[in-house]
Amino acid sequence: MNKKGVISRIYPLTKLVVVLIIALTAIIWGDYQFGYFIVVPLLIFLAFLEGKFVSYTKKMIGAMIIMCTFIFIIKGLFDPSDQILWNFAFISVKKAGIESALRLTSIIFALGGSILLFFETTDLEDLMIALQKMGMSHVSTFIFLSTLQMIPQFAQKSKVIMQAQRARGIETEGNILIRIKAFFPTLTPLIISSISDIEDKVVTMEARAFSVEVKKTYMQILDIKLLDYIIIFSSLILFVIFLVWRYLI
Amino acid sequence: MKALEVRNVTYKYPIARTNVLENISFSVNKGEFVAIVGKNGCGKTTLCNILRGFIPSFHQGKFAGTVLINEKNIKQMSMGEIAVAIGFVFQNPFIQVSGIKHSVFNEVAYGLENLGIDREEMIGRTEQILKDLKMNDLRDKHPVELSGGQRQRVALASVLVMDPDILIIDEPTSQLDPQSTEKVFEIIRLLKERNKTIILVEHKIDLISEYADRVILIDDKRIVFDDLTQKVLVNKKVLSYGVNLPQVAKLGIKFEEQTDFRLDYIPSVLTDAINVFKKYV
Amino acid sequence: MMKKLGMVTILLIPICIAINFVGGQIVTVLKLPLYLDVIGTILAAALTGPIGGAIVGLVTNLILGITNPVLIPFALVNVAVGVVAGLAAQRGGFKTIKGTAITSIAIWAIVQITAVPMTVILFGGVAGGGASVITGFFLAAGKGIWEAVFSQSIIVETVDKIISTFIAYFIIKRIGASTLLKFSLGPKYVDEATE
Repeated sequence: MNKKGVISRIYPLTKLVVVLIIALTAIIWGDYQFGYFIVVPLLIFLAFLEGKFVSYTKKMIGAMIIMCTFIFIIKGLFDPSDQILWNFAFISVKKAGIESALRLTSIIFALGGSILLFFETTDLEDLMIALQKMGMSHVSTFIFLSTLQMIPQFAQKSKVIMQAQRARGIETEGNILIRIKAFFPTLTPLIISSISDIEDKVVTMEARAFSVEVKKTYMQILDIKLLDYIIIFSSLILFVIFLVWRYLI
Repeated sequence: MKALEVRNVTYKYPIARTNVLENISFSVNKGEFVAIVGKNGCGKTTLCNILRGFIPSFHQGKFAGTVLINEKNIKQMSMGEIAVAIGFVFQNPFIQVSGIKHSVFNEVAYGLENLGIDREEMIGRTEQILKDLKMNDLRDKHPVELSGGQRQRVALASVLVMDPDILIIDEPTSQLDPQSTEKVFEIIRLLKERNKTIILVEHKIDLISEYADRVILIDDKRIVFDDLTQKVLVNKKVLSYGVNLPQVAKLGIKFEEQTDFRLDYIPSVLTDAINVFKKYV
Repeated sequence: MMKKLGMVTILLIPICIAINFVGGQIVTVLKLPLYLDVIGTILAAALTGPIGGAIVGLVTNLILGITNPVLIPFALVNVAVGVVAGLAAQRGGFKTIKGTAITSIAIWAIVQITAVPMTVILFGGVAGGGASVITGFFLAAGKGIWEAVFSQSIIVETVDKIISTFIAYFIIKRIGASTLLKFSLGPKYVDEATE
């Protein structure tokens, strides 16, 4: 990891608790104003503190803009209600539809944005170790981290195979049947060779004492600090105050 | 004391028609360096898997016989005990990575994490092994960026850091260039100096003659030679099993065939050769 | 649960998740109107059963969720595919072409059963870009939201899931017998090959 930002230094599970609370609050609150005018700016501000304003905003928009646009279109145009907000030629935008779309998209932005911020500011290896310290099996850690390394390697190899096949004259362009046929020889050699390697990989992992049943230790230093307790505690208190205010008053 | 003992081992792979190995028995003393040779497909790798317990625990099939590690039946040993007792390195350098670590240093330490070794000790041992194996230049590299030779050395380091007394090394250099091969053998030389018990499968016969105390030759499911290196690797019969002889041994044999001289003995290493031929100069 | 998985299954899972990812990527490169992003889930299920399939499905969508959190709830669909494919595999559902055809229908059905309600209830009927255009088309034609999403789903998913299941079937046929035997359901496919 390069230089860690303010939020990156917080214990992964602390952030997870905060993110869950933000998301829950947004769902319980329900008004789109809360999601759009409080949660989203708050998330962006936190990203700014971390020094990731640009990359985070880009990711948030990139991940959710298409979905949310379509929600507005589908709800706005095809809501069964009668009250019409605007009329353009033969298209009429329904008021109830837009309101429901605003509500739904604000929750999506709040929830999705919180999750994105969490991953943007959390080293996945740290997260897995934190979970493992909580009692999760090291097998889960292995599967998760191994997958994260495997995906880019697989993608890289499939590109190489596709180029090789083009060079050998297998067509990858043309009508749809030709393109479907190209799919199979691109993916299968990769799959078969990876699966055949599993036997040797088992030997490798056992030679590294993977199956030994002891309490595992970690190279990374990852400790819950006082600040983490303060953060968890104060966000829980705020959340309880919010619940009381919302339901009891 | 015996580090390893194999008694009457016979094995057949699940879908094979015939046995790969039949009635194999031998033992290896502590600190001994034994090379296993034989032509491709003769069952050397299978034997390594038997010695490490992967057969019959992982590969099914028909297995009979007994394997003892440090005079204890391998069947009664846990995965952890075996992992600490025997280090295992095999030929393909590209598979022998955990695939979850981002630096060579962490990769090498992974086995210690799995053994639950204290962080301080873990760092100390990893530092030491990287120093001993002259690999400090690689410590911060991503395992995926390494060449085959570098990966093979990392694989060795990852196993040696766990400090096993016995090492099974199956064709470590078969996919490496001469330079990387030399570096791997430098490590093996170091292990010999440290009095580790070593079982090495290798085709590079000149290197074997230089390092191994003993040679076991397998052919057609059975052990056909099991004796001191300087006795096996000078015997013309070895050639008939598809195994080469060291250059100096061939020189000695040819010399006797083409002259009337009889050598005191056929040399298998260079220093012996010099001694033997000195008197004719 | 994780501790009981055999080492072979543990090592198969990351490969199968990567297959899901790369399958989806190749489709984009080849500009195919398909997803082909559950081949790994189906393959893991066919080789190791419902648990392996479910884990592949779950982790695939969790990792997708790191960059696109909207996809996290759809983990349910991917897990369901793994479970159904795994249950089918335990009953020999990948041994023959006919069995695979039946399995593919079961997988298709579970996708409809899980994905349609999720799309309608959680996302107001919107599922990604291209597919939503189709939903919009049905809505414009006067259909209700459920009917529109269901029709869209049938159009988009049917061919996709059938092809995916058959790709898994053909891949298994190509895996060597000794490797197959290492997987818990592997022996099913080896008997077939030697008969």
